Amino acid sequence: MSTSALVIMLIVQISVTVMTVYLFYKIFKKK
Amino acid sequence: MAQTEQAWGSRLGLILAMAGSAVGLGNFLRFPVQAVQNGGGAFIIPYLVSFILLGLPLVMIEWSTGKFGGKFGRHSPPTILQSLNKCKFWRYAGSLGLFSSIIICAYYCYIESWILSYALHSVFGTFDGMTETEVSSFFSTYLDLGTSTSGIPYDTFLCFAFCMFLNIFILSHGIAKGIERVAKFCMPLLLIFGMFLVYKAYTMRAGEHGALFDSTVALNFLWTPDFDSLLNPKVWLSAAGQVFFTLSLGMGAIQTYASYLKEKDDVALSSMTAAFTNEFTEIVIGSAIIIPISIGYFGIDKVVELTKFGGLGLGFRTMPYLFEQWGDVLSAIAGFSFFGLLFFAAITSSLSIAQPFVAFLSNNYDWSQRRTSYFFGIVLFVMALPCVIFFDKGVFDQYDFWGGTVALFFFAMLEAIAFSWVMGVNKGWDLINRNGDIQMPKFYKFVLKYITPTMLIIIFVAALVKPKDDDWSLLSFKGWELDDSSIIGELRHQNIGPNKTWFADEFYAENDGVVKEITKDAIVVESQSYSLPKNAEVLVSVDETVSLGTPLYEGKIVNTVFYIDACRIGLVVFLGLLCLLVYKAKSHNFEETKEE
Repeated sequence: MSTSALVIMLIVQISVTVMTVYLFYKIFKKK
Repeated sequence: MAQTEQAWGSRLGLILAMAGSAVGLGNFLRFPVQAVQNGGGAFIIPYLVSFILLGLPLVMIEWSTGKFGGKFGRHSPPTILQSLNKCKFWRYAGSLGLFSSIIICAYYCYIESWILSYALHSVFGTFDGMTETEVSSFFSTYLDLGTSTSGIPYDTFLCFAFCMFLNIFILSHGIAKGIERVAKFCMPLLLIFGMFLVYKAYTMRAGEHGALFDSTVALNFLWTPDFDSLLNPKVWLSAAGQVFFTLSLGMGAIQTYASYLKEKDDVALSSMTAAFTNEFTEIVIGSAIIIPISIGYFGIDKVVELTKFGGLGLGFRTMPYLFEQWGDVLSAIAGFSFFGLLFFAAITSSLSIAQPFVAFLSNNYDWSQRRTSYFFGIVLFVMALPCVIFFDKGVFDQYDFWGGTVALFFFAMLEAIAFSWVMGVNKGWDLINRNGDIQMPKFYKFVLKYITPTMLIIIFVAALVKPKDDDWSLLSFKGWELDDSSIIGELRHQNIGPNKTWFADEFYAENDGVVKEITKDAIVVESQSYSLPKNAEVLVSVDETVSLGTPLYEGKIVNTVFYIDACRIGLVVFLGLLCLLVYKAKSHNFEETKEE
């Protein structure tokens, strides 16, 4: 797998996952 | 159960239902295909930009206006839009939201029934031992209402009727006891099935179970950026379109769900969580199933060819054959997981799409949720029947184009204008952030006022006058040739060949080539098959060379254009009836709203 493809895939997938988890964390914290 | 008494049972239930509404077939079938067709890794850049500038603002608009309308006991697009401004135009604009939601729900229920049937066929091993061609033609056989694929007569129709009844049954139990419970059950299962398939796709190795390539070949192809494509307007329009469809925008579904929020409830955090859950499902799970698995078996070139027919073709004509390569047990589990995942994604979406009309009737005609749900079932059945019976006559595509694409964009454009320019962005900004657990970044106020409405108008105009083959370099002040799929091109029947009249005595060839086969049901010219009506007299013979416009057979012929025009007339009449329902609705639901 090329480095550019790997970097883009990881950046995008990790950012979206972290953001989703963070938002759920905020919700459960507020509960 | 009166509508006004209804509310969400829990915040998690609300978010899962909202995310379930957004997570649909687009996440698993449309997104990967769009990514492949639009530059792989580079597609993600316009996609994310569109998500930030178009998707999130529209999510905020639908959530905040829905909650605002709900405060005055208004739970459907016509009454919610009317609550933003006293001009009567907005209630009729809202009927467009009802229109698109019913039309989409009609054909979505039909697709849902294919999915359910395929999940069962996977479990019972129907596809075991079938060749690639046999699996592909199984789909056409399944859609032929007169042929049974399970031994049960009219199984396609029965499965469709069952799916419709299931939706109505859940809807009749209301928001908290029906929709919310289903979302809490379906969404976690969907994620589990999705993660299992992603694991299987990522761990594919060349040589195992007949695979030709490692999964890295597909991931490399899918994520390698082709930065030249960033300068192509087609890629930007595709990305914006994908964001729009994936978030269930423009059909009043999100708005209706949000109208059951309480005054003290937050909009900002909940809406962002639901939107990002959808993105997680799309980017992390949706991108890692059908493309890696199909490329693993077929290679890049063939999969690119297959994606030209869209995600539905790849999902139904190809995936069962590929799962079959994994052995009897694993193929049953994978097939059930894949179609189970699609089914859960589809049913949570169809329920949300159905709710605007159910809410409209019970809200404005004082019907109970149960009575409204069953009445909606009858309306839906009547609207879906042409789609089911005349599927091969193009009725399904007409529903998708006018109800599921054009009306959607147009309604969203009106929503954005109503929010930012008619009601005023300052009031709108206050609605978004009121009682919020987070505050949205201030630059969104600018985006909401200028960028989002402008983007929607550009997309709409672009869809209206799309140049041939999506080649935007053709644009010129002297005019340009329109694409068949542009709105104007569709209206002018540009994609219909020489058989342009409703009724005719002769049917003409629509392609050039040699007549390959003549059976009692069809004439095959090269790869194009023309079905033969009963009592038709064939005018050509096998191995004869024909060209566009050559008469193939004669008899009493009803051309496809008749069904298409009848369908369009039906859709216009239906929109008129909805406007009439809005006109007759309880007047106090349209009175001017004043906040205390």
